[in-house]
Amino acid sequence: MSETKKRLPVWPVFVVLILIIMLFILNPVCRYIYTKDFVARGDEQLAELFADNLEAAGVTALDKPMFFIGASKTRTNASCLDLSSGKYPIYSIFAVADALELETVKASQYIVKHLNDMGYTYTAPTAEDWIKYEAEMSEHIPLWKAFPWYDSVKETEHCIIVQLTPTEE
Amino acid sequence: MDKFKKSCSFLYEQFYHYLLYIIKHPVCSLVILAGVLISYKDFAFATDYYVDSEVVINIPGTNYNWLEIGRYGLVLTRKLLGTGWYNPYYTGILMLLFLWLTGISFSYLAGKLFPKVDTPITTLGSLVFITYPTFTEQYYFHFQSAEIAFGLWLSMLAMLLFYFFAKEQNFLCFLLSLPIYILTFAIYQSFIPMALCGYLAIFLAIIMQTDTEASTIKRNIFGSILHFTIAFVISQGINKLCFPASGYLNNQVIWTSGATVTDSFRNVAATCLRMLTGQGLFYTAILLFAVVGAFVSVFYLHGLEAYKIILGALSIIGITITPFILTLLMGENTAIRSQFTYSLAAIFLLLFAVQTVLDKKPAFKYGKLLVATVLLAFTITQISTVHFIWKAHEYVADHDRDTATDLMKVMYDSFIVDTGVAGTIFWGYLQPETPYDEELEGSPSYLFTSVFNLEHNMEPYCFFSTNRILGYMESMGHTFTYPNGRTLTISSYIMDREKLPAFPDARCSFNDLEAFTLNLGNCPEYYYK
Repeated sequence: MSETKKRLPVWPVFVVLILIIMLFILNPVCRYIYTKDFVARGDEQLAELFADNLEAAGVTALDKPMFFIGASKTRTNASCLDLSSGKYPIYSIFAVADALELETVKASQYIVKHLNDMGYTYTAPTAEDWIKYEAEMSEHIPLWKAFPWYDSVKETEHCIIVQLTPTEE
Repeated sequence: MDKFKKSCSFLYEQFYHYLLYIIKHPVCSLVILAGVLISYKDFAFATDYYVDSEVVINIPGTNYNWLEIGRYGLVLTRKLLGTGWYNPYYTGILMLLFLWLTGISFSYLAGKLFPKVDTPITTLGSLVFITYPTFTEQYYFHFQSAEIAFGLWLSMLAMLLFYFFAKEQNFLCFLLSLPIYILTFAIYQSFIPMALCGYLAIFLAIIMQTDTEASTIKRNIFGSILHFTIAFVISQGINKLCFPASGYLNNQVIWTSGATVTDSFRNVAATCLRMLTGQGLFYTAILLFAVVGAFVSVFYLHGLEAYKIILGALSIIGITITPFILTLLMGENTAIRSQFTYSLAAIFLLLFAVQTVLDKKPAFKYGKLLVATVLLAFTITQISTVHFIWKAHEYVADHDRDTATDLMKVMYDSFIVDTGVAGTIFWGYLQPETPYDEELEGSPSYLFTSVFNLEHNMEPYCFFSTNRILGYMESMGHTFTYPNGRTLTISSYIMDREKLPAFPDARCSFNDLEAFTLNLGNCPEYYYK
């Protein structure tokens, strides 16, 4: 009887150890995925607010190129990963200019592409648009209020401008 | 020392057999895994609002009020599992893993208690136990779902260990199961009736064996009482000595709250009858079915001594009562989420009935088929109910999210979000009509309650409900100024003066820079007058 007991294998101990190690690894991985999902869901909500802002600003000509000036902050809640350090490649589409250090045209193209992927029909600007309308834009850039607050959108003769970075009054 | 080594060796052997059971019964393992995934996958990975989620999300690592309400085991388990910081996907994986282990452990335990019952039947029994619809309201509270599932698994392990003590007189098993029970009692109070059910089921299984001697029975009675008393006293003692008391649980005892004894009796009787007969969305009649089966099977015990039959009948009565212990204590219907023991008691009784009949009539093959069919039918019914509950809950949760987005539009428009300029008060409440209202009637639950319909009728009116709503919106990543007494006073004056129309009317809100007032609708005048 005792001989049989001595022959018991040790693999059950390893099974338990592997399970514990897996849980240790899973915890941060899951937090990363949660934060990524949270930001993506937040973007969907912001996209809806953005559509509402456009409507409130009386913007109807969605075929005009849309310029997003600057970058919003990526919204998270207290339980998400701390994104301020820039350690994690997670950012809101509205924060892309800061996160990827993109110029206005590239950032605007990126944002419009992602908004259109969500089912909206906005027009992305080209580099030529930027050269043509830069002067027109600088006259009309909405000051102080930034998206998602209202009055952060202005429609000019040839383009639509969205202020993402809050500026000093 | 030699005895201790032997006991340790015995324990390791049992642990080995336990793991081997999973490998040797792959169909059982996979069926339980499939049952768990089909039933609770959506619950496990949900990130919807649920009551108190705003606290857990916005204050990472919080112990909330758990220490005050005797749930220090929950706090400890959160630290142990690393779930203290809100991490829904990790929690979800743990919940599914522990539920799977619970199912397998139950099947393993049932196989030990009722050796004549085949694994397919114990597997189906496991499924009926873990998919019982009352668990849905428990898992709705996602922040403790992994810990509850962990507690269920621990309870099964404690029962197994106690069984080894009862059967093999292994005192080390007696000692080891003690801290497990102490921990589970402090994770959630509903584990106490579950443990009682376990003691009685083990006792019933042991006394019904023909070769059990009177001395073993006496030792089991004494051992069970002693074991439970020690676990209960230590668990409650730690709570009383180390943590401040709160009236949260005592306030739920209606016997002492001024209600008449007749009313309390009437409540208890009505609740027990409703649960037994499976009325409402969350209950099935499986316990009634199992009790009848267990008592009928007693007639097959004619070979046993009279005292064993009497003790067996008493155990059956005891097991039947355990799911109602909380109801009896409270004097009224207890929360759906606290009813853990109902399906466990039913399955124990049903398996006992099968074992007893098979013991006397081994050729009664159709009996096995009949029981397997019944269990399968209950499993399918329960899983479909769980899905229905999820669908109805999801409808309300989606509606809440859309409403929050619409409210945010109004609040951004009023310059309220991220600015810290004015405290907010939401007056009234919102509760969406759902396509499922007819089926949900008579089964009120937090699962179907909107975040915009919580605590508005608690005084001061709409203060706590506003905090809930703002907490919910803050958990979405937006910041607001929470109201104080002054905000409430100003806001109630504005509400009275402005006669604001109800949301979503464009004029439903008013911002006077000290208080942002928004009328959600359904607001009686006495709330603000």
